[in-house]
Parts: sequence; C-alpha cells; structure tokens
Amino acid sequence: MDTVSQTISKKKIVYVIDDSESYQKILQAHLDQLGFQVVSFFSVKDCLNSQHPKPDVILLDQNLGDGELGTNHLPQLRSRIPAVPIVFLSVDGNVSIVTEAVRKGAFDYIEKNSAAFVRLRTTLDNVFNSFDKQKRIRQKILVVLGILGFLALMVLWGWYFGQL
Amino acid sequence: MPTAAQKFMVFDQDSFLSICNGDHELENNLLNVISHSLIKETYKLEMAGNQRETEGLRQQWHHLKGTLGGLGQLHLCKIIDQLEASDHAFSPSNLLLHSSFVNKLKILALEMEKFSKMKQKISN
Repeated sequence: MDTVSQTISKKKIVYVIDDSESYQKILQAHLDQLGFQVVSFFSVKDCLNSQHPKPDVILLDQNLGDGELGTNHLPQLRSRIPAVPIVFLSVDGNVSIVTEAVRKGAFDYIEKNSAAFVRLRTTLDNVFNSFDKQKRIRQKILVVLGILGFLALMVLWGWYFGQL
Repeated sequence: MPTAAQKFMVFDQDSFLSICNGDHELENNLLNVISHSLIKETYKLEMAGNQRETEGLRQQWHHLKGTLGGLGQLHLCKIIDQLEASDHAFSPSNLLLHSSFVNKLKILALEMEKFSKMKQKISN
C-alpha cells in the first residue's frame, strides 16, 4: 500500500492557507480525492486562531494578499504549530523565494502550474514517508536507550551487592 | 488543419484529464468547481477594472494566475505576466489587453461549464 493510500484510512488533516478561494476549492477537490480532511484559511492569522485539530501537513501560499508573504509567516507557523511539515505554494518559480522558503524550514515547494497536482501527490507521499521514517528512527532510539538504561541498572545493582 | 471551431477552442479536454491524473471523477468535480469559480473571478476582475481599483485588479490577476496555471492555460498566464509587468495597471495598452483577457476568460469559463454539463448528462 502506498503512503497516500495509507492516509485514506487514517484521514490525515491538511491545512490550506491561500487567499484565493478558487485555488482553495481546487486543492480541496484534489485532496478530498486523495482521502485527506481539508481545512482552508484565507490568512495565517485565521489559521493560528483556529480551534481545529492539529494538522498533519500545512500548504502555505506565498502571496496572501494585502502585501502579506507566506515566507514572512513561516517561522511563526513553525513555532506555533511545531513538528508539522509546511509545503510552500507559489505561482512564480522564483529561485530566491524557493531558497528563502526552504531556508526558513519549508519541507518542499510546489509551483502552481499544470503539474502542481501531480507534484502535490508526490510531495505528500514524501512528507508522510519521511515522517514515518523519522518516527521509526525515534522509536528505535528509545528502545536502544531503554536497553542501555536497563543494562546500566544491572551493572550498578551488581556492583552495589558486590560491595556488601 | 484545425477547423474554425477548433481554432476558437481554448479548453483542452485531454490535457485537463491528464492534469487530473486520468481520474474521471476528479475531472468532473474539478470542472464543476473551476467553471463556477472562473465565472465568479471574471466578474470580480471586471468589477475591479470598472471601479479602477489598482490593488484589487492586481490581486485578481494574481489569483487567476494560480487557477489558470493549475489548468495548464499558459497562454493566459503569460497575458497576466504582461499585465502585472506594467507600472500603470490602467494604462491604455493595459486596459486593451485586460479587456481581451477578460473576454478570453469568459470563453474559457463558458467552455468549461458546457463541458461540465455535458459530462454530467453523460454520467446521469
């Protein structure tokens, strides 16, 4: 089963932050089809004030209207909603914007063109693969630390009773 | 040689289906969503143009660029680039380009709506 198919059974939550209602609806249709639960916002402020459950991934647009830029809000989003990958969206494939977004912690970047929806599917696959991998590594580290802790306790215990 | 009707055809059904990963259900949903949105956005664009709202007009162009980019309408995206590049949104040349752009959008929206209705009839 691929990752996107796996998400269908779990209904992962995707936040979409875009000031264009049309694009929100287009993304919603695509993500619905992939089995995600979508929550859309027109601004980062709306998103941060929302009472919705924590998302599994955030799709953030660069141009949010009224001169607001997604790149400027990235650090705030990352600190207020930590450990959630943010995928950046923009109509311009401008290298400096992409670099800035990645430097500020965006997981990936999608240009709003005809290939955007194929890229979206691949990117979401990568997001969840990477997060599952990180989760597995964290679990393994915890198991190893647990074994080491147990061994250390055994050694200390042996040493203590050896002293008596 | 394309026929006269094909020459005026701005909505490419085959490329739209490929944008939808060949998924007919998604194609139907998107056609419905986008054709309605396009009509709404075109109206907003016309209003911003009539009311000479520079910021509103620029914002609408930008919104449409994302939507049209997603539809693979690159020739329309290039027109928006040209419109956005101008320092004066309401210069005579921009106004002329803007009105031809609005007309093209209306044709696209109508074609999409027509195609959407046709698909709905077939599926019913």
